[in-house]
Amino acid sequence: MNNSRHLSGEIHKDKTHGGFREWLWKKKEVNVFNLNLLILSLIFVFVVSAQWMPGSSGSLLLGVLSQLSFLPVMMVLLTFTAVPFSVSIGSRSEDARDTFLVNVIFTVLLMLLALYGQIAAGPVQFHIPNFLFFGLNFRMDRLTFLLVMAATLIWLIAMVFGHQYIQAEEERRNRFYSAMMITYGCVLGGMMAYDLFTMFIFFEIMYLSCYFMVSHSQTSDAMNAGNRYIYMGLVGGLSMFLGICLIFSSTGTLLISDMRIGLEAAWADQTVLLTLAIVSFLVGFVIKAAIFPLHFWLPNAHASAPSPASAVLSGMVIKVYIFSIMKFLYVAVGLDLFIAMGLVGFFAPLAVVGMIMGSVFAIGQTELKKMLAYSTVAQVGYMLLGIGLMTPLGLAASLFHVVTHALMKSALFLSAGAILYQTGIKKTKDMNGLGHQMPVTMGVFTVGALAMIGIPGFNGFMSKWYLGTAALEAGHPVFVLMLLLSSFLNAMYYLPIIIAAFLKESDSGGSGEARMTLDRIPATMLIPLVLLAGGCILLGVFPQLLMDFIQRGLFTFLLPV
Amino acid sequence: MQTDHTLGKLKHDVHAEPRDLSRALSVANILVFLCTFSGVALFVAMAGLGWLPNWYAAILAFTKAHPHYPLVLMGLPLILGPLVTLLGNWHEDLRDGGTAALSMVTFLMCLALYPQVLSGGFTLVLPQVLGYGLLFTIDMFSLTMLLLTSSVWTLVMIYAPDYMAHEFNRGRFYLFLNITYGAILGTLMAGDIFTLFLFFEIMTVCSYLLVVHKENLEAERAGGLYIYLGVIGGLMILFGMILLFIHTGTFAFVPMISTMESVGWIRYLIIGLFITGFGVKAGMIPLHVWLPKAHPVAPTPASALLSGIMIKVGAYGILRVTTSYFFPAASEIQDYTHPLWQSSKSLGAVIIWLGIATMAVGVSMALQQGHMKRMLAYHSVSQIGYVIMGIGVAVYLGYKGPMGYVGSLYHIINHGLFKALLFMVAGVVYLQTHEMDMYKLGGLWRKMPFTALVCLVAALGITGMPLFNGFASKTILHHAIVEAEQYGHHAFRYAEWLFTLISAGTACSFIKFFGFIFVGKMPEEYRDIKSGSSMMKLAMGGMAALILLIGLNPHFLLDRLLVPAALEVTYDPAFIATYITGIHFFTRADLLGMVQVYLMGAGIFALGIRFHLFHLHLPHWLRFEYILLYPLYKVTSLICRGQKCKAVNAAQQQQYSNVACSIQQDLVEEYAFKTSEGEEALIDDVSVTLSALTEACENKIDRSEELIQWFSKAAALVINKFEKSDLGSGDGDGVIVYAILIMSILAFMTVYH
Repeated sequence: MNNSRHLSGEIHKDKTHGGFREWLWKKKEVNVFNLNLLILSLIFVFVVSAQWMPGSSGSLLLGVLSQLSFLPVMMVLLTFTAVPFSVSIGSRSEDARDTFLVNVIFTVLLMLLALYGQIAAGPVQFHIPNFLFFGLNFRMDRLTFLLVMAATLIWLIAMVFGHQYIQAEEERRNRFYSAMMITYGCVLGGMMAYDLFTMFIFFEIMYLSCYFMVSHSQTSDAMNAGNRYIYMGLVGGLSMFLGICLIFSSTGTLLISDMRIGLEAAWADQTVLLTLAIVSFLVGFVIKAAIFPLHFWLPNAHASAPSPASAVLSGMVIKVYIFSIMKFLYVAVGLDLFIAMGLVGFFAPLAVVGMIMGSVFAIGQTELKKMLAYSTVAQVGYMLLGIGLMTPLGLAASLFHVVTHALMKSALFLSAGAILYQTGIKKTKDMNGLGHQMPVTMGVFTVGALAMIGIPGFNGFMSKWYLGTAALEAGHPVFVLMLLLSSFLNAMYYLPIIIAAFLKESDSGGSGEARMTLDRIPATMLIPLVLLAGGCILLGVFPQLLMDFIQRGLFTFLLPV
Repeated sequence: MQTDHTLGKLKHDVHAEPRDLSRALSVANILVFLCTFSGVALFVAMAGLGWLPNWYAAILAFTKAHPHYPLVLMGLPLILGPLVTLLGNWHEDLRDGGTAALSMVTFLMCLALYPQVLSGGFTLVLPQVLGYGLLFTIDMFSLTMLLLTSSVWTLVMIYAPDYMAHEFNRGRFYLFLNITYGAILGTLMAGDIFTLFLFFEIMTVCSYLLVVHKENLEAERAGGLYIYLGVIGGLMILFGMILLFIHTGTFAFVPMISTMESVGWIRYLIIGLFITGFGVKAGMIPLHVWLPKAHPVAPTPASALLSGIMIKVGAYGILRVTTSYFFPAASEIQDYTHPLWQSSKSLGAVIIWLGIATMAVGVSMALQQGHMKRMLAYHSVSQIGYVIMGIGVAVYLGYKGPMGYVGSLYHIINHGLFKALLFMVAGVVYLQTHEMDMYKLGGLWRKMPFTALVCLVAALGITGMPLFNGFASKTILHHAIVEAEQYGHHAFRYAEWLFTLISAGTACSFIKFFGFIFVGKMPEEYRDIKSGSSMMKLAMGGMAALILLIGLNPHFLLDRLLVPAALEVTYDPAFIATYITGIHFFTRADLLGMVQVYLMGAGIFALGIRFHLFHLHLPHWLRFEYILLYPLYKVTSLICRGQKCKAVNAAQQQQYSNVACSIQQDLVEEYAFKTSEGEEALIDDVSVTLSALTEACENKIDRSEELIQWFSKAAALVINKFEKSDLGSGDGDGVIVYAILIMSILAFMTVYH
């Protein structure tokens, strides 16, 4: 089905791309997009290094940046308004569209950096009255900042990676990028949302735009996966809506910080109703975040999307729901009520089963991307375990894993994309000897996979460590055992791929001393991959950078204003 | 049949065209060799004889002034090593010589640490790294291990170029050899379990590449077992570490049984997890199954290092963990009857018997082997059993246990030397004859007299002949087990008998090894073989010299390294002063004991030859792999059988629609292939079973989705019909008819599915 398109992509590739070395020597790829990237990275380095600048110049720059006053919702608006422009630009020049979109995301990044000064002082909360009758509420605290930042970086990387990948592999690119940008806007909005209604609105827009990414290739498989995705998302959304209605009817508020008082007041009279409300709201989350028994839409959906889209779907989109569960459980409902409902003993075991079963299913996969998608199911279990432990340490570990997993999984999905781009290989059994053809890509894959297994020195180990200590501190040694079992299962499906790639010979020739050649993928794909792998190692060696930030943010997060 | 399809194309036992080594490399290696031995000589002069006190003070001042010394020591192979390997793309001799020189420099640097360590140790903290910070501490125990590692490594690096000239992928081999080396140095210098674990895991992962170097089917199987067991062991250590941290709040290697006592039974869980985790790497039974597979398939330099050094790192871990976490601090106890010794006493008894069992299994399996390297690998299992038994005594006797401690540490050193040498001998023989089966060799001493000589030295060392190094450690270990009987439980008398019997088995085994390879009638086809390259001889000669030096003066290492090491642990200083510093090795009883061992060994050998006992093999159901893995295998194949039958039926009837097939065809074929290979492919087996299960589960989802689609289609049909017909405008009768219709369709579909 895909063959003809793939062939045309192959021809296209041969015309335009000369590989990394030629790019270096002949400067073939000096175009708007790459020049723009270069400028952007220079600006980024300049801005980030401002705090180390000598004298007053750095503080001046920081001062100017933090003086810019605007609402964080501007970021969401900016991404949404960029969509129609991108379509009109994209119908004239593809490079110009990609450049434009990367610039938009980069502007968001700069806005975020400018916001940091305010957020460090205290959470920023704001209300847009009368919009959609209830009005919208947003709040930006340290944790939100962290996750929005992570989302922005992952999106930026996926966009840069996608520039040539999507041109070579996919058609209908304007539609794809529109969906990608809308999803991005929704991720920003969903992370910042501070009432249930705002959350719900962004979730609903998000699953519609994700549907376009999932079914993008329009093959029958992709359409089926998309159908499953959208119907499950619909059911989840409706279930969530029911929960919102019931909660609003009994408490009269949707704002997360006010809800706890209302809920506790109404709890004695309306125990059953409120339990139903909260449970149905949570069921919505369980479906949308692909928590184990209701995960079955995820593998096909994430596997059939184009690789950059899979990276953001697995890397960030799922995390919006995870973060919202945290907000809902810990801030809106509160632990006391949650314990009174008797749901406490339910969460962590569910997570553990998901951890094991996700890995078990992943072992059985023959297709690389589907295997990665099943691994996401298992990793969602890790995050849920952290939430289900009901301790601040568990929550911190869970948040750490959210960021960690975003890095690892996007590295893995993007390298799967790079493999597809250069060789067209989709099945794991065809990957023999791939390490000799594309050592950098497979190196990045190895870093991601070793992080998943939890080899110390990579970030996955630290999140396992934090989760394990949190679980033991909460008094559940069994969960630690399960965590380690799941790690072993991870090893069982990641290691054979690495071994096959580096130690076996490919079926198509190449004998004797295997000759290693550098990857024949453009630099705009190679550099993002290397950056992700570098991030994995950096966070693995200095996890404190992130963990300190999380723990400081957790304090303001758990105490609503 | 489908090897290419399922397992990828694998290289079979092919050899690369040997590359020529330049003369410059030989000169460089001779220089490295000379530097190493002059380092040893200087060390003996300064530390042993007290000459050159100015130099000694200068070295002490230098190391004191440079707190980042351990990082440099570790960074040499970890960072410079890969760079040197990169040089290999340009000129291979540069890489080989550079690696040897790097190892030599690290050896000299380790030697230079001695004054500092003797005067109080070395500590370095890297805060913030990996969240909790890394802690490096070098005490005498670490330093002893560091010296062993770096000296053996240097000699093996001198040996390696000639051997590796015949192998493919030399660059990769050297790269991972260097990283493994750095990781081992890091493991040995670690001051807490967290740091140790970090480097231990790096070592596991990198040494995997050494095991599977040949890339043939056998190497892949062995490597699979190695890496999966390694990962399991690593996860066990991790679990123990998390438990330890939660319950005590510290990682550091400090004596802390009084804290651990408050934890209750969990302390046994923690220590059990650590011992199992390190035991995997050490080759303790029943976790030794990877060892006899992995060591023989690796290229000889790697097998020498795997057997000589890497399994000792596991033993080091066990000794380090038990003597710190299960020992009280010196200030807490007065004598050996203190109740704080209770936990270590019960733990030690278990470890002693584990060690004895490991020894016994190793020797009995080794006696049946004809494959040279596999036999040596089984002897590694057996010898590590001696070490573990010594650790057991060291823990069991508590305050009076230094004999076991010193014995096991001494045996770690000695075994590192002679086992590396024996593997090197096997490598030389293999390079010349291309034969691993010792029964097909013979009379080689005429062709390679030097190799025969060093082999004899090593064999005498491993069997414990007086004047060779094995005698010293075996004597101490024998004293240790006797003390365990005296001060502890009388049941250890049987342990002592077994000890003697196993030593006799070892003697027999090496009579056989030497006899079949070097003595006897030489087969015709080896008439023209050469004696091997000079560099290999140089390395082997160096190793033999070390064995002899230790053997001739066993007191030197004991007094300079081992006794200071034992004094750092909570042991009775008076006991050490009386029984260890004042030990006499060449006493009548010990010498007579050795004579007895050799006589018994010769007796077993004669019996074995007479009745062809060496060709007896255990029935397959007694093999460890079989006992461990068979139940698992059986279960998976039971689960798989149903799926497989279904799939085969489906394939026969050509029912391959998108949902009808319950399992993909290639999976079936792969499974059929794997099962025909026997229980060895367990991991693959499990994954095939799991994929069958996954298929089935996914199909269920697909089918229920189909059901929903059918339902909606049927509903659409019915509604269409209803709207078009006259009934739609008529009275309510038609509605009932259609309701019945829908219900019956629904019921039909429910039954159908």
